[in-house]
Amino acid sequence: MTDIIHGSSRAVPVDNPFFRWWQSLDQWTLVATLGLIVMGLLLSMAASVPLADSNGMPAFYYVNRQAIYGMISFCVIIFLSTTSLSVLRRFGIIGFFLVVIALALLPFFGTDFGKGAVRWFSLNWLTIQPSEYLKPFFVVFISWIVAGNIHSNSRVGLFLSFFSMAICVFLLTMQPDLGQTVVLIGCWVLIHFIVGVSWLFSVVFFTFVATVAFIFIQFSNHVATRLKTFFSNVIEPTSQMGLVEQAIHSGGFLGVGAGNGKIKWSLPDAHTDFIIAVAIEEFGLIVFIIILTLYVIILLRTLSRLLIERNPFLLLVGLGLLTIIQTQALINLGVAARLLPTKGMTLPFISYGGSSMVAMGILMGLLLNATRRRTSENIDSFMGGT
Amino acid sequence: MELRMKSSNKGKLFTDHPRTRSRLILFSLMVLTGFSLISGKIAFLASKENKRNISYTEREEIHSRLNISDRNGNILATNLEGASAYIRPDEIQKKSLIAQRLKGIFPDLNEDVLLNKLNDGRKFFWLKSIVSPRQEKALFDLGQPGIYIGKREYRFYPYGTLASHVIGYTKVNEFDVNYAEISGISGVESAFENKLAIKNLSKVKNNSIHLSLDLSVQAEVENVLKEWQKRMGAKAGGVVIMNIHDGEIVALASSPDFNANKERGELGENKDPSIYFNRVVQGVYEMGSTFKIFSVAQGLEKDLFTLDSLIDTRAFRINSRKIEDKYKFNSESSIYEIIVRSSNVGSARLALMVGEKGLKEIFSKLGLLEPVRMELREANTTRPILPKNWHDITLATVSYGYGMSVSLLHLAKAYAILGNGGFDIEPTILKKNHNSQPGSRVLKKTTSDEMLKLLEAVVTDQRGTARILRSKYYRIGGKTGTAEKISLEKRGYQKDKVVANFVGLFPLQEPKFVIAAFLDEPENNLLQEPCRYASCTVVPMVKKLIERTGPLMNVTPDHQALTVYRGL
Repeated sequence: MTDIIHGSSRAVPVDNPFFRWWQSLDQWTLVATLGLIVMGLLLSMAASVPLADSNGMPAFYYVNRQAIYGMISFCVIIFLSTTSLSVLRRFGIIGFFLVVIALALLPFFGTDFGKGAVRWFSLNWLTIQPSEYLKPFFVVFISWIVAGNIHSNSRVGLFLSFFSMAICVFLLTMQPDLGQTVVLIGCWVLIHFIVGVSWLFSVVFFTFVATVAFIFIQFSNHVATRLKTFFSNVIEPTSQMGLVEQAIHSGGFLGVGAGNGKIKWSLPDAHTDFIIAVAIEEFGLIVFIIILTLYVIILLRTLSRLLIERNPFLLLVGLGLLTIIQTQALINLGVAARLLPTKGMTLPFISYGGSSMVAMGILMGLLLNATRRRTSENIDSFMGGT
Repeated sequence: MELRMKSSNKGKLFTDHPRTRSRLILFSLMVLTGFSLISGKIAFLASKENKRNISYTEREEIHSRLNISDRNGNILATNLEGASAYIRPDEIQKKSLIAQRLKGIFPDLNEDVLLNKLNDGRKFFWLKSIVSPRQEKALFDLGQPGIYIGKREYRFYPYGTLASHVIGYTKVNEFDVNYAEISGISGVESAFENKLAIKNLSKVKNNSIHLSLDLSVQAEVENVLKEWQKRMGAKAGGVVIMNIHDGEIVALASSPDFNANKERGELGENKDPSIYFNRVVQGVYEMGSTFKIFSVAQGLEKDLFTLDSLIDTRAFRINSRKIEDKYKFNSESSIYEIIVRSSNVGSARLALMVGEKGLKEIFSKLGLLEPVRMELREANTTRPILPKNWHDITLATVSYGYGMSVSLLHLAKAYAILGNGGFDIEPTILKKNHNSQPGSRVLKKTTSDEMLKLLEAVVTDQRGTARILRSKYYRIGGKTGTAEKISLEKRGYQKDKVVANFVGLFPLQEPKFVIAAFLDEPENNLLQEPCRYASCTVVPMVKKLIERTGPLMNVTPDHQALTVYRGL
């Protein structure tokens, strides 16, 4: 494997497009992603059964759907990782505008499925959650703005990107979708942080966001309740967190065995937000360790690629996408461990959900593309023939 | 529209900028730290030691408990479906009004405390762990969001205090809004915890544990015991009736007792914790003269003497300590007379003849050196208090029941072996199959026969200490014992505080039951002068007990009894 990655020493250079693609790719990340998709499928067998039950579907109805989403997602990954840079960029920018329009239309055409937050377009057999798709496109768009202005002394890039982010945050807050907002802001901050905004600015900005968040929390009943639950010592045994804790507790190292879990029957979001609790209850800590390892592989492999990246646009895209996937994993797992207050946040590739799966596919495809090993000619052509 | 970039930096790694490099690494380290924290917390949660070793998934199903019933199927303990009430204050708007209304339903609630709980920002609290059906309906009729009713089972004892020490009591271990896990604290509830706590009642064929107790006998025993305890001004008392062949305990009463329905697992306020003490099983006392026949039995076993052998009954000294009798005995008395009239001197002489080895042997055979082996934990953990050494003076005093403390159950078991032909038995609280095997033989048949003769004489002889027991209907044998209690304040014994006991076997034409009874600090003031001896306190009680319970246990009156009765 190592030989293939550092393929320069190969004796016989094979000049076929597939091999070139495969060679330029970070295979570890691709394999880890595939691993996550498979784990997600496996866990959906455990976690989606109650959902199927309550919707009057055959027990594995949602497993089949998850398998289809997984396959679509994987195709998207392969496809996006092969495209040229300019296609990638255009795709990202056009996609961004489309998703923003979709988000803006949500209050008029969206539905809340009785959950209190208008996040979905329901097209009868297909449900789309635009905020999931926003994330990869947002990263490409912001990176484009920031990278384009990186060497000018004006702060145009900063203000333009801030403006774009503000619009997105506004649209997400309308729903409301606090979790996605946090991820988006975090991603934006990190991009600027890496580009080299001074520490002072970072601190000022952080303080500003914290203040806004504090005010927001003060006025939002929904969030305040969740935070209060988080800070109280006594967990109500039947509350989500109480159940999650019991699930982890009873799972132990090896779990109670596939299909024997009980928590999933009483936990409202067992197949999405709390899938890790279901996983640990049935399969034990081992499954948690495996999933965590896969995320860490993606983190470290992408990081090693980014550290030698020449192109600021690609660096920022890669970093932004990496931030999103890792932050989502962090938040989702952190909530299950009761280190963070409850937020609606899916676990990338693991949680059930078509939009989440396909959006993650887009994200991962772009990430793999951004971290591809490129010859200088590729870059030159990207640079527009300067 | 191609993106235009300044090309002055072409060829130079963007990440060569030290800030970018270090910040990238910083970011990764932060993510890794986050993952480590999460792993640590989850590993901690997953490995947290599980109380009682039952994981949540199993525990949810253990919500039921078998019944406990007597030998005839009368239910002594059962699970009833009840309800608990809990509150989610967030969902209540008019908190003070609701507090007021709840006070109307539960008069024992403190309105201020309740209001405080509603207002202090907690999300959840229990209102009552068990509410009555009427209160449940009243809560329901309030129609108030935020007040919830949860189903749960609770333990109910239909007969209240009856056999409370045998049945024991339970407490709610862990509970949730839809179940409560009940576990036994004492008695049968604790001893058979594993059998009683079951996952699914409907899957169990036999939903009851059948005790050897007979409800009617137990009730009579408790009535008589309480009545006589009161009449004799005794602090406490206890009775056990046991089948001498298979060890089935038919009745076991300890007074004072408790009502397990009112305990709900906790010691009630202002309650004397000693009411939970099973005085028959857990209480060890110096038993006095009831010990005298043990050295006789050993002597007969080893052919050292016969019942007619004459023993020196003049007062004598061992190590300057004087051994003497309260009544006057001839200078030589037969063993028959020593037991019938209960001579300490004679008993001491017999013990010296039997010796340390002999005495220990008979005690060991009768199970007096070890805890009584039976299902109840209370019995298994109750060790007799043995003398530190077995010098002559100890042998002498132990032979008439001082310097060694055992429980009433110990005595009952020992007498059962003496009376059942010499077979070892193990007392049991469970109903046995009729074809149960007898234990191994530990005494000779002849010894047992002689002992029965001797014990009957204590009742039938006109000088016998238990002569009040003479009955026209039953042939009864037994031995009285009265032991002064050790003073807690000063050295020595208190003359005016005694433990009086009696152990008897009946019906003697075909011995079947042993009855052991004791009263703690009794005093019979109905006679010309106060009397504390067993003969005037416990023995009348036992007479009553046998008269009342005999017919209930199918003990048929015996014609020979009348002959014996008249013949005297």
